[in-house]
Amino acid sequence: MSAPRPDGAPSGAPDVAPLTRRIDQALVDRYAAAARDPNPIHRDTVEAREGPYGRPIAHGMLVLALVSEAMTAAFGERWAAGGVLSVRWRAPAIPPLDVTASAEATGAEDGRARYAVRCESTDGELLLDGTASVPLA
Amino acid sequence: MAEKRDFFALRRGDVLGPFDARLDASDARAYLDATAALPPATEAGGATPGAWLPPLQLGALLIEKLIEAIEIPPGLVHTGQSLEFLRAVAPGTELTAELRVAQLSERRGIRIGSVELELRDRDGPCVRGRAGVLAPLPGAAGAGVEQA
Repeated sequence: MSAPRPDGAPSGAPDVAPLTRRIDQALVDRYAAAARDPNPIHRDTVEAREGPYGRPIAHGMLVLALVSEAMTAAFGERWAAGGVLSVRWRAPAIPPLDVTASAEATGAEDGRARYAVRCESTDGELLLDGTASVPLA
Repeated sequence: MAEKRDFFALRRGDVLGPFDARLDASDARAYLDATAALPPATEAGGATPGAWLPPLQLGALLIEKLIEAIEIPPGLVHTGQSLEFLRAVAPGTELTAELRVAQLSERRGIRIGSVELELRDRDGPCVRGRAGVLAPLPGAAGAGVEQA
């Protein structure tokens, strides 16, 4: 683990800007088509209404896309050719909602910058969390 | 297309695929539109916009192949995902996806599975990962599914 900076943040891992995005049913429907995901729990269907959440939920991979976009914005092709991501979904994203993806630097070791990643709704509900890393330049 | 497999009949070590796959520039545009994202290479200097596919679109492609391979049982939930992006992939690249059932367990009326994922081109693996899924066992009333 690298030494902490004076502000307490671990050194060596570049900052990643958080990203906030509105996820509404129209976006979910577009994602279902683009990702060819026919699971009815993501659409206004009987299965969604009678499912555990009583309403359609957004695809977990749609929420996760915000994390990957934030990492892509920070690292470009280094993320596409060397990025590693591991997450668990903690709560359903029920549209419409605003989601913020963030990646907090946890250090740099073994030639990689390491991050704790998470997505939260604007009311503070944790939707997913996990880790990411990317090769240092 | 091969017949879909019953999620509840899968066994550890079962291989799903290989599946041929390809994502063109139009697929990348549709994915970016569907995630409301900016084209990846425009934000980080050096690369030509559209020179490579959004990395998570490759992960979504692997999930698409998993969905194609198994019959989706009611209440199936994607609980976790790991991905390792080994190489950037250009639009139009001929790809092969292969999936392998790594773990299966049953607990409190729920079947929990973990599937290894690999996407490769003619030069070798491009993306590797693992997807976690769960579904209530048929007839398991009251099985608690709490995650998305």
